Amino acid sequence: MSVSTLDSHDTPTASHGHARAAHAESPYGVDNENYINTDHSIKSWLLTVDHKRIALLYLFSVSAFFLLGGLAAGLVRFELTAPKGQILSSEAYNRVFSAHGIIMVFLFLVPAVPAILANFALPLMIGARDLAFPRLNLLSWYVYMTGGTMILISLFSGGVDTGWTFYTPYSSIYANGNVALCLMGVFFAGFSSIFTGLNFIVTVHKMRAPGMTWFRLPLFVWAIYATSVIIMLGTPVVAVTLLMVLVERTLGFGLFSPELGGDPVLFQHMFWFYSHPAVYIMMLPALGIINEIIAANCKKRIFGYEFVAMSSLAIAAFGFVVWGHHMFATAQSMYSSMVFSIISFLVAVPSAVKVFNWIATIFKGSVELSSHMIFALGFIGLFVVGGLTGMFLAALAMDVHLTATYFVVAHFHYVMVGGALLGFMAGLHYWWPKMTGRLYPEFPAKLSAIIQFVGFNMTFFPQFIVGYLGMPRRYHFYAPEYQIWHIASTAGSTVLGIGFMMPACYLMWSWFKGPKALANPWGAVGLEWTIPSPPVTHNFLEIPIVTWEAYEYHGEHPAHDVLDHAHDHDSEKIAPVGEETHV
Amino acid sequence: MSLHALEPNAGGEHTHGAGQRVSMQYENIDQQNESYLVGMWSFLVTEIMFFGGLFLAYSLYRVMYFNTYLEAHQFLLQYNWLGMHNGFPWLGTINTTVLLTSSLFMVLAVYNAQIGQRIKTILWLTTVVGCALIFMVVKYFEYTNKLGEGLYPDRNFNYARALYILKTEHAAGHEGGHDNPRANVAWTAMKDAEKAGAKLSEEGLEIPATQTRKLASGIDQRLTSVPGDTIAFSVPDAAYTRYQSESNHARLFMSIYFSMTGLHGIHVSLGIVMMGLLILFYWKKHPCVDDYMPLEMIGLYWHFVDIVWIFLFPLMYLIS
Repeated sequence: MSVSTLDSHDTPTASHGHARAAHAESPYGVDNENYINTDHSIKSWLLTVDHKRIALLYLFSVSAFFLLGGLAAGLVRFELTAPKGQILSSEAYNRVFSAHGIIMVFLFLVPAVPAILANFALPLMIGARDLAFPRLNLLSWYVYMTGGTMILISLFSGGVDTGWTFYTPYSSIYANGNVALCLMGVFFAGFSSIFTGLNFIVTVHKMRAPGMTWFRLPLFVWAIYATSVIIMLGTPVVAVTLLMVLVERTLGFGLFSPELGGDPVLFQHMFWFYSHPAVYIMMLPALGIINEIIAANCKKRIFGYEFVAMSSLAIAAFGFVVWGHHMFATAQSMYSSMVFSIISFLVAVPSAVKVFNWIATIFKGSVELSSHMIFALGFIGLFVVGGLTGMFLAALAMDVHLTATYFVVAHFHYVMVGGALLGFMAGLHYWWPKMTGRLYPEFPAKLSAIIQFVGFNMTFFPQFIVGYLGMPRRYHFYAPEYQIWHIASTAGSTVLGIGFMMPACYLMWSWFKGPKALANPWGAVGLEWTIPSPPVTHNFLEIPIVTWEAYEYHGEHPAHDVLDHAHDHDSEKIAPVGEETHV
Repeated sequence: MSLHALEPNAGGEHTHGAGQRVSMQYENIDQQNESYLVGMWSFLVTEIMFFGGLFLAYSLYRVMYFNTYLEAHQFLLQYNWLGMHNGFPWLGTINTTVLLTSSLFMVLAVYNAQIGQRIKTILWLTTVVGCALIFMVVKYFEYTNKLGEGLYPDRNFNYARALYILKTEHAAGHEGGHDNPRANVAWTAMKDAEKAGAKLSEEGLEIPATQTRKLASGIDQRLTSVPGDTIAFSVPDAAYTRYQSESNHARLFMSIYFSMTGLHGIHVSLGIVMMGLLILFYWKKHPCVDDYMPLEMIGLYWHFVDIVWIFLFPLMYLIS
């Protein structure tokens, strides 16, 4: 069988049996050397320039930070079960929620999908042997680890109580603790993501396989491209902003502190100029993943492909002109606020384009409720809730009531955890067989998807209510009438925590003990499914020539030839090779 | 021979020598070179955004405090330099000239690398490094001069002292001496204080002991919370407030001046390091410079650094 050309289609090959036989004779071999087992030395991992290995490096480091951030979250939730706190002093409480925010935002959410999943899958999906700059890719991991280490040192040596937003002049003048080191760490983490984004942009522009035109790209690639544009344009701004805070804090320059003549709202403008687009850095890749999964599980082309592709770019563009909605409650001019409010509403349009197109794709599709599909469906529901409550907050009058309450916290978590994190989970499950060459057990995976969905809603829905009732965010002590909601939320977070621990267990188990995955376990199309799982070091023996459209479930696509029938019985019926139409 | 003819696909292999190594992930040398270029340009976009944050801060504060900017930018001019008192930005002009010239040398270095003239490449690169070093040395003198005048923009920022030096130097350039024609709130306030018995000197304002005591006991407690700022006022609150507000805004200008030129200086220094490495590689005939692309990349970077300065120079030195 040839995966790189369509020769196998030129003669009317009748059966999938042929394809399977061909698979055994694949030039890649079966169970032969792949990118994981090609070299086992520690050095070969730490000095690797293979995008797939770097993705795994990122997977482990990002997961470790996620665990830390999750523990901090658990501590916060536990602390809040009593109106006067449980075990922490107020100072410690401030440091714990700041640690949670800083770790989760800068060390988990931003790199999670781009640096792990896109790093792994993007070159495979566009038919490239690697990213454009493999060494830069490795450098970005080291820069990320440097930043992460700095942040960890600062958090464990006194901590930071500024919150993840580092508002001046508190962060630059008054806050105790290792704010300077922490800022430096975030600065480094930002540069790591700039390197990654730059790599993706060049890769998408220059490394596409012959025939892989822009409108044949999988939508995940479009989403990552839009994300990279945001990273490139936004992250440098926050980098220089944090640098300015750093300069004010360490060198004593007056830049933002009103005491020294500066304007603290300028900091907020510059910070949110990045940090609002940053939530799209976290969201867009997840939205892209959902496209892949829905197409693969409905065995259909994504409805309105072009619109979904363009909606990613539209979100990226709108994302840069809405930052002012974080400052409705500052001295920002009323007219700016109105403009920002209107533009913030407009973000709903491309987001809704995506959701409606997914629903249209699912409609009359042969939906297979695999574990990643359950994650994806949960994602859609939570993303809709998160997005709609975002509309509440974009409304000026409403926001004055809700700003800096738990309503904002809940909205943010619905988008970031319910959206980005569940999207990441979905993508991880979707590409796990490709990454590791192993299949994870479906039942616990489905169970964990459901537990996460339920636990998530139990945790964060009460926060909408308690926020609406007036509970401010970041408060350590609160009025006793809010306690019931906090207890409900904490109870839910326990369920959520169990939901997150399950994948760690069964995925790790599957890595060592799971059944081997063949090239295309889900019957999906896409170039990454035409090569063995796990791929060889340089992905493709011969660069494929693309003559098919994206999501070619009913036409000819080489991925149909490598279906893993042993695993997926349905796909035989659903994904025809298409010889009738072809001959 | 036009540069266009030297594009890799036009020249063929022999133009570039045998050293064009295509990395594993690329199909051919064209794809590799184009990727390098797209990557470098993308990086420069991030650099523009990086400096953009500071330019935004500059613009905002300039709109808000234009008069102070106008006044404070005179600290960057030379009122007493080699016997010249005309308030011309000599040091800034020298640096602009040096940096613009270095860009020409960089172009020549890249050109020679493209046609395979190794020695000439090294020579031109060395002149670029020389220019960059001159730039940094001039910068060093500018900075030390500012710091010496008390213009380090932190809590100890001594606007009174810097203003005093500026005004006396400025006056020295004019027969009979005259004040700066522009209205300066802080200077007026200081003059008022002088009339009330304070002594204006190079250290700022000194208040006679009696008055200091009077102040410390009564009207202006805030003075004690501004360490190092030796100015004090016998004309009480209003004048002090006027002085301090303008002093704060002048500090803002100096903060932005130091931040922007400092960040630019860091970029120049990085450029020096990278060009030094390139010279070393060319000297050692290291295989990584068999191809001219590395130098082309550094060249793009260097032009970017140059362009940033082209914006910084008028924005900082030529406000009027």
